Amino acid sequence: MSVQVNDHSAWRAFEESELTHSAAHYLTTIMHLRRKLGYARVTDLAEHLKVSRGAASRAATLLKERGWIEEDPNRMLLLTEDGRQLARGVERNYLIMECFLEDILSIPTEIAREDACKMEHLLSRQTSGALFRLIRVLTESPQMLEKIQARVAAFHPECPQNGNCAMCEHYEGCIAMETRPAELMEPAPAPVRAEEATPARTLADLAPGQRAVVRRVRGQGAIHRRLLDMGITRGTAVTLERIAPLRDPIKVKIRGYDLSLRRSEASLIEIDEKTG
Amino acid sequence: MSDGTSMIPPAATIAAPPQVLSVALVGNPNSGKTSIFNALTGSSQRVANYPGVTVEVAHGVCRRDGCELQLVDLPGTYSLTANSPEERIAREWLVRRRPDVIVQVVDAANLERSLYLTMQLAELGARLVLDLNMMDEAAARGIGIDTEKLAQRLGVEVVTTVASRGEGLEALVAAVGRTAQSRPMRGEELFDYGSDLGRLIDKLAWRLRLTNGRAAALPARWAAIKFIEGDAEIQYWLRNAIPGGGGIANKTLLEMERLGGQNNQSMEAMIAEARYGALAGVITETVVSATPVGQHPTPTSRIDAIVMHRWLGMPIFLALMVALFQFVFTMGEPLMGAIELGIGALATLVTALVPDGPLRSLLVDGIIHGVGGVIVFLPNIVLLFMAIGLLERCGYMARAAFLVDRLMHKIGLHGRSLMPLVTGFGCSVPAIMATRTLEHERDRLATMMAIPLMSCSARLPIYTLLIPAFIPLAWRGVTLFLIYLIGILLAIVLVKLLRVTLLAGEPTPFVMELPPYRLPTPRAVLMDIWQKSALYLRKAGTIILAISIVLWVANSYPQKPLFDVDASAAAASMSAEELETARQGEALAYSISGRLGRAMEPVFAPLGFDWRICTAFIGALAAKEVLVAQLGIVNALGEGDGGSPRLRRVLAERYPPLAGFCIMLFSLIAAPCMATVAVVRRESNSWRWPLLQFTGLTLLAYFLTMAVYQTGRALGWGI
Repeated sequence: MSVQVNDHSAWRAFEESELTHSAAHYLTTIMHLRRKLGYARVTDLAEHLKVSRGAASRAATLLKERGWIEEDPNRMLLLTEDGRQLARGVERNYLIMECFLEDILSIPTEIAREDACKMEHLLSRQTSGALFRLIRVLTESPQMLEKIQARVAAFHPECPQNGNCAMCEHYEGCIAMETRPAELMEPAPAPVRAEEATPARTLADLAPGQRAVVRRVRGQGAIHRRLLDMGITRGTAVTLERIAPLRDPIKVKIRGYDLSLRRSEASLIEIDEKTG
Repeated sequence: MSDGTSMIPPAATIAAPPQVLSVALVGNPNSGKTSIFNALTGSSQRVANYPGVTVEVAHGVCRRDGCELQLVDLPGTYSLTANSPEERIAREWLVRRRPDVIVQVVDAANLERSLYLTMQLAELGARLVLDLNMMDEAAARGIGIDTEKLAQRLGVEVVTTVASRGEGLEALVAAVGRTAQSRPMRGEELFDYGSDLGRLIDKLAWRLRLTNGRAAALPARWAAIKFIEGDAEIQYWLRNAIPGGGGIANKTLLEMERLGGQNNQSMEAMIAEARYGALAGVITETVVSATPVGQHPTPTSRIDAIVMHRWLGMPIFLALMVALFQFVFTMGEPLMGAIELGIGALATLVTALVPDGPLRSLLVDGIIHGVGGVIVFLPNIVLLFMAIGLLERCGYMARAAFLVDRLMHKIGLHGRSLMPLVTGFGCSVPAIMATRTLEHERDRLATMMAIPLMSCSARLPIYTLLIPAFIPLAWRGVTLFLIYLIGILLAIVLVKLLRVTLLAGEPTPFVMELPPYRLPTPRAVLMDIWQKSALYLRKAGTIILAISIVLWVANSYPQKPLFDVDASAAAASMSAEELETARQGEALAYSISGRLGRAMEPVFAPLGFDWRICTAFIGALAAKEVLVAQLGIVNALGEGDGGSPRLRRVLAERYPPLAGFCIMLFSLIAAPCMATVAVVRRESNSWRWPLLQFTGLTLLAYFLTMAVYQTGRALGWGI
């Protein structure tokens, strides 16, 4: 009564009744697009997943057949209730898996993401539920978790077969000794900085009546956040309307309302001049 | 069922039980939130102060259709960032107390920036009703909003109101009732933050959900977003209140750094951008604007073109300030006279009813005159608040702050500090209450500390008594001006000093909305006046009453059994009235105040003050103008007033002009009156600041006056 590893019937059944990797991707992408843009068309789907329009269209037809998505009269794709549940389930599985791999097994982020992405659509509700409970129990006490992790990291198989156990034969080497490959721990790519040779023009440099587009809000802390909260974000159009009689502060129009700010604050806002 | 409702099936009675709902009103400043609150709650309001801050939160109850809404009017806020005490209180309420329903009041003409807050409320998992207020104004500006589409897009109930006319309130209450039964909003269904940032947020949210127990105190996704935004409070919370939180925090910070580096942008900028980006879609779908915003000059921009004009702006501002004071003090004068008459009549009545003795003296001299002396200023305060309230509500105050911010900023204050300071020339009490318009605690405290140095109208009787007594005619105007100027200069020095010591810190931002001009409703202005006056009266009835009694005791006890004047030879030649005033003088000298005055004499001798002046200053603790009356009594001339020529003559004989100037200088700076102390205590919510102010100013007055007196004497000026 041993498990037949090579029996593909489980896979076949799975393919027929459940979600394929690509279907999962399509469903979650539709969900994300609808959240982001408010709509999702086949074109958007193709663009987002970097596949041809034809491929996206075929996939959409398949999903429609499964009853996971619908098309409205404007050819916008909608998730059905079933589809929505599936997509949310995949999303949940992904996050649980990623947390498990990264936080419990201490797998590097990159690998954890990749593996979670491969498994997200395969996990059953039972498995992800059990994983969820396991993570909660383990993280309940950080000390215990640290102890377990330290133990796992330091694990050294006292291998009586000396590299000749069934596992070793099968996998060409001792899986227990597999550690993080150094090449995967690559550092983050160096941030691409805009050339700062010429100091950028800021809102404080504008003359009354001039229009510009916000490029960046410099600085940090409370003032920085306040400027953002007031709607001064990248790509927003601003017009300098007026300068106070004492030359400071200034009044600008942004997002349809009037805002006053000091020159010192305006000089934190880099702009691109708007022509026309 | 015995009543007439037996026809209703039982299911219906279950579906609509008498509900008690806690409802929080939130919204941007100037969105008309308080008007909605007032219209819903009527007179059932009470104002609560929160410990540690001076923010007031109004509570009220609204009962309709068997529904009881317990409303709270939270301070105006643009975001849930908690930049200022107001925002912190608003956020604290929404996050920790979890009201059943949140009503966001939105200025319909300013939908985009308002929805920014909506996004954050959605992330908080609120049950939200969106109330588009001032729809009439939006319509006048050619802005049309498809409310159905908006409701569908955001998944919330959207109602429209015009609070100033009471339109749409029924619909609002009904929507609140329905929303209480509905599913809370989910931020992630509304919009997301793009792949990288979104992944970071979701992951942290899941990590928070996965850590057992206490993370549930805050909505996980909201807390995750706030953490990534760099919210100090949430970062502290994660590290200290969540088991294993430190590790999660470190991991997330690392990932944030990497993501920020890739995008060359701060996390908070990316988050704000994503929110506004998602909003842009909602706005294009739901808002129809007849004319593109900013194409046509609005009435507001036309008015601004004049009142903020490069050359005209300042003169207009100064003219308005002069007009304001003229209005307050000319209109206030007759009313003050009437109140004085009323107090006099009350005193006469009590004198007639109560037999002579300590009780009558306590009632008449202590309570009626003590408390009355403070109530007398009520008309001025009411008028001042009316004028300021009108300017504030119509939108000019923000412009005034804009005009003078540069000057105020140089001193170390804020554009909005100006109004309280100017009010200080009228009376310190409303001035200190007016500091509430300042957003930041440090600006507020610095302004409060400077206000007593603005010569208030109660100090004017002192100057008008003393200046003619000591100063030659040609120099009188200059001297009065000099006294006011000294106050202002000292205030500047003091604030600068505070800004590098107790109130040191980064300059507070002047990022401030300039709201469109609006005609305030009479109701709103009356509400303002009522709330402020009630505060003032309540104070008169409590702290000031108590201090009045203490001062009365000090002035009356111990009583002198035999008066020297009765035994003197001069008594025979005196009229009854003269005899009485001479006895009053002796009685005061014999009392606790008189003895204290004598005890203080050696200390104050270097300032040119004798025991009489010291005794008079003790009385002036109650209210500055009492100094004049006390000077009259100690000099055995009866209660003097600003115009008493006899008192002037006696003073001029007794003291050199230099001492006269020193009395004015000392009363300008020293010891703010008890009403000021009380109101600073209330507004700063601690005894620290009023005590510091009291001792600091008194010490400053002492040493400065001493320096002036000693220098003057050494140089032979005015001896």
